[in-house]
Amino acid sequence: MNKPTDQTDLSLMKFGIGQPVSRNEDPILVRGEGRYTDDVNFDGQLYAVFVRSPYAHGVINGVDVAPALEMPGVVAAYTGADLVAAGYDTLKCVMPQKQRDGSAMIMPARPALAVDKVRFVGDPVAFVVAETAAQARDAAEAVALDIDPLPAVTTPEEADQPGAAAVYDEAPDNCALDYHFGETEKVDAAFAAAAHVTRLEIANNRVVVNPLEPRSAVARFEGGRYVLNVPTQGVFGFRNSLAGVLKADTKQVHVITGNVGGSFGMKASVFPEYIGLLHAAKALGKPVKWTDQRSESFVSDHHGRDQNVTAELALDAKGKFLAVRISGHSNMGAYLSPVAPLMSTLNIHKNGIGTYTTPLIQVDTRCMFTNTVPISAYRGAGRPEGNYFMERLIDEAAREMGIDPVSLRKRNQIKPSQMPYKTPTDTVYDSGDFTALLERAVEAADWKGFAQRKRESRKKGLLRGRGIGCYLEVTAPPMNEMGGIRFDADGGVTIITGTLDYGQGHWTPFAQVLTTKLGVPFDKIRLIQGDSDKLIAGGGTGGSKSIMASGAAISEAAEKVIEKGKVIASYALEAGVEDIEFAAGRFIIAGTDRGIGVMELAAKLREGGLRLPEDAPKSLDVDHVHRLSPSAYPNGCHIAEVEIDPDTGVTKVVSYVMVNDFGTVVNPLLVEGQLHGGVMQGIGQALMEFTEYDSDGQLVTGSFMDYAMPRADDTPAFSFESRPTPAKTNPLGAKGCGEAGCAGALPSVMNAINDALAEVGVKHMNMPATPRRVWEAIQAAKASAAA
Amino acid sequence: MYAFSYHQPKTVRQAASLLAKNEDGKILAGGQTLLPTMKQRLAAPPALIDLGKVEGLSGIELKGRSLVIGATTKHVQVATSEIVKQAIPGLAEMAGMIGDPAVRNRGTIGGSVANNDPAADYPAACLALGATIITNTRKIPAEQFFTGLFETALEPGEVIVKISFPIVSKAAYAKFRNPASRYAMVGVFVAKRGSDIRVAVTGAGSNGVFRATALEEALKKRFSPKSLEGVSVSADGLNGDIHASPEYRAHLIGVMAKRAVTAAIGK
Ligand SMILES: Cc1cc2nc3c(=O)[nH]c(=O)nc-3n(C[C@H](O)[C@H](O)[C@H](O)COP(=O)(O)OP(=O)(O)OC[C@H]3O[C@@H](n4cnc5c(N)ncnc54)[C@H](O)[C@@H]3O)c2cc1C
Repeated sequence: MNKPTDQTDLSLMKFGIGQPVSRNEDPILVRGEGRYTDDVNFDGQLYAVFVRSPYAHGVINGVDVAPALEMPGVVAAYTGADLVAAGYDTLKCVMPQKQRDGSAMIMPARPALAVDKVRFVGDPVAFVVAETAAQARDAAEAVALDIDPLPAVTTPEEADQPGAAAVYDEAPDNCALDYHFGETEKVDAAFAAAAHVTRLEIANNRVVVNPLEPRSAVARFEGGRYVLNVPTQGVFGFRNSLAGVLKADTKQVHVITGNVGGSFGMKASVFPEYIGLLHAAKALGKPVKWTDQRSESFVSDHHGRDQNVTAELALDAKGKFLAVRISGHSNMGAYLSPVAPLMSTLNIHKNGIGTYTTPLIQVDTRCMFTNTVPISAYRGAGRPEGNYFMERLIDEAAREMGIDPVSLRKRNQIKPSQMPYKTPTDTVYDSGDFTALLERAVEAADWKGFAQRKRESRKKGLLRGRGIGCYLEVTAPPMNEMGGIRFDADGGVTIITGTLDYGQGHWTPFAQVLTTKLGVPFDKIRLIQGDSDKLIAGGGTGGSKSIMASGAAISEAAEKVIEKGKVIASYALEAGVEDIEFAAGRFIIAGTDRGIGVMELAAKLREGGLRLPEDAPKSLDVDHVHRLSPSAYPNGCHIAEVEIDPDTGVTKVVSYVMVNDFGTVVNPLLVEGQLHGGVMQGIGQALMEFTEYDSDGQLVTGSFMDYAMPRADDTPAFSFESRPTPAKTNPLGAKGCGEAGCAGALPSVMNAINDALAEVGVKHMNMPATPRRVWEAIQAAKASAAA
Repeated sequence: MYAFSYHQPKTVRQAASLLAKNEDGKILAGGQTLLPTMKQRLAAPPALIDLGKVEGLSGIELKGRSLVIGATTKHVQVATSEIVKQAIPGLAEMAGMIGDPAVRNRGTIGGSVANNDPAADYPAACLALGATIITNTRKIPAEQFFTGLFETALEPGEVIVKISFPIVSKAAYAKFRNPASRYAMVGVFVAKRGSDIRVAVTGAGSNGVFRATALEEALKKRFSPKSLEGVSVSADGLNGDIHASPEYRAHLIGVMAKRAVTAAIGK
């Protein structure tokens, strides 16, 4: 007998794990029907505007809000003193690292509004609440600040000079953390014994995050609870942090996040504005709304990156990597963000090892306070940087030693037979075939045909270069995640989980996981992710882990639904529970064709059509917590080719090939989209984005007139391939892809630029390779050749 | 934005008298420069006099040996006009390089010229082509019109009505965009009318648009990019900022001039 065509099979061919399903939310967002925080309004709401420090550093003598209070429509105005009097806690760094000597890092308290001193241009000192946003803006201008300016420091190196202005009394040398990792003696010995040492001064330029959606928040105080609508990266952890600052019980705090228009790490933090808004909402008994202006967000949103290192690689005569050493400074900005030191410390050695067998790694970072916007996580949060430092060293070593960069990498790559592989930073890689990816990328990029393409470029007067970026990222550390499943009254099925989509499109792949595991129809599935009242756990999104964490939570929750369903189905089908099997969305009596679909069973339960004994489950709903989803190790090889016009210094990425291992790919369409975005963000940092302060600490690149973002016409044609080896660390076998684009792009693009510029004698081009800097590097190389 | 009064005159005469009546009032054309500065509270004109409803201010026509463009003609109209493409193709191309489609669909030639942003494109075209700026009261040669950074010869109450471009035999514009704003970091417009060769540079001069006489002299010998080889432009009087030093700008003037000449010859 032919197997009858099964609807579930057909549906899985369209919507199951591995299918390129387009995003459920696209029609909603594209039609402008999304609900971002600024779309949220309440009757009688008031509007807040913040007053920010115009000075980078200064002593606050007084903040006079009286003139503002006299302005039309103004309801209230608050200063730092008001928030201190209310007794809130300060904003906290939640990922401190230990000092070199084991002592605690210096963590000065940050009140939500500056009290005694201002520490960067943009530091909030007061806010005004009025009946309209325009009235609040007018009144904010009337607030009189009496501030005595102090000298400012803006770069971490400058901050580390003797006699530099101290940002905090408790850190007279401006050093928050003198971080050390590695076995110094062994590393020194390896360098001493090395046949060759490659050394580069590498800059990791500061970037302004610039999500499309500026930050916004609406605060309420209702029924004795603080309620905040706000863009985040996960409401559960955000609620807990917020409750901590408010000194409230977590049950007294409700956080709601709707659509989010980009975050890249930035919106994960509890920002000072939110404390002010909640305070005002409580004091005034009315909702209070605030939406950032673009020009304000340049100084009110955390910035990313900002680290300068000396990177060194020790090699033996055959090119075996003996040790890598990365030492330098990173910028914390004026206050510690929640994750402040993580990116330039722990994540550098965790990710700097990459795909190689390098037995030793040392990282020394002096994390410095400066009078600049605080630094926080930015797409990759140290992962792209760690890989970038290493990959630049490898290309440079290959050039210096006259070894082909592909063979040098192969010689040192960890082989599949070495899995599980324990790295010198105590990470255990479970899987990956790094050399196979490199070889495939080399083939896909037509590595062999490069000489011909270079000749063609030369005919046009252009320099051409190619660069490899082999990367491996250690995704976020283990956290709990909720997998809730609800069979709704209207016949829909709701997934509840605590990761949060800020543009990625979680709804679709999560529904693909559920439809695959439970056979419920894809188009019936909804997602709740942004309501802290609905969550019993939630690790949030960050560190490329959502599909691993929520995917695992949903899979396990589906198992629980099946367990419950078998019991209930045994009553519905009048059979013993041990005889009930589950397959393709149906509970059947083993060996018969009698069965009931999971949706039908849910409907029966709803309609009360089943008589169930006391001890039987009464619904299929599940509240599950997936415990400590471990990290995974997404990896890949990207190869970029660039053309540089030596007359103008303009660089174009003309070819971009990527071969990635993201383990099980739930939705190849969305994964490719993540890579396009990640690579473009990498290209942005590599070619154009930079942040400059003047000597007074004023942000020079404070608008899009001076801050360059990558545009559509900077985008190369991408070639995208997947070569997955499923992860062994999570039930789906997924590895996470959100940050990989940056990790591949920084090294491949910069290696390509350096390859092109080597021809004209430029030794090392740092990011960003702006036209000016490239042209100047070429002029300098010419001048030194002539000398 | 601060509060302001809004006026919609029907004629240039009404516009001029409204300007006279409203001290510190401003003309509003495409609003692509004025409105952003008002939104950022950098400008606070108490009155806006919108040219949008003034009859006869928009349009492109040939008059004898001149191309005449009305003040409120939008960049997109100049960029796509068959008349402009026939008469001075380099001018149409220049208009097509301004900003982005949204800006080109609102911004006007009169607004751009009146604003005289040191990084704007039209001032270079006007200067190189020897345009005449025609106002409600007089005719001002481009040579005398652009007087400094955001400064022009316009008197208070004076309204630009149209701009007249003599038709030249060859002209082209080469623009090196500022990587962030995409305004001209160095823009070079070259034009050749008989033996009269003009090279106007925008985006680079610390006093706004100017003519690069050294390059003009070199091109007079032969209108060819080769003539510019080895001719160096002085960095004196050029802008330096985070995107380009005066030296880099000086170098780019030479490169862009060569590219503009090459393009002009190809037309
Ligand atoms: C994102 C962006 C990118 C841009 N990129 C470029 C670029 O690459 N190159 C470039 O050249 N420009 C660029 N611009 C500027 C654009 O071309 C503006 O349109 C132009 O500078 C001003 O024209 P407008 O019609 O918008 O004038 P408005 O903004 O309305 O007015 C500008 C000024 O001119 C005065 N004015 C206007 N019309 C008259 C008149 N007929 N008589 C007297 N005074 C008048 C106004 O009072 C005001 O002071 C850009 C603008 C934006 C917003």
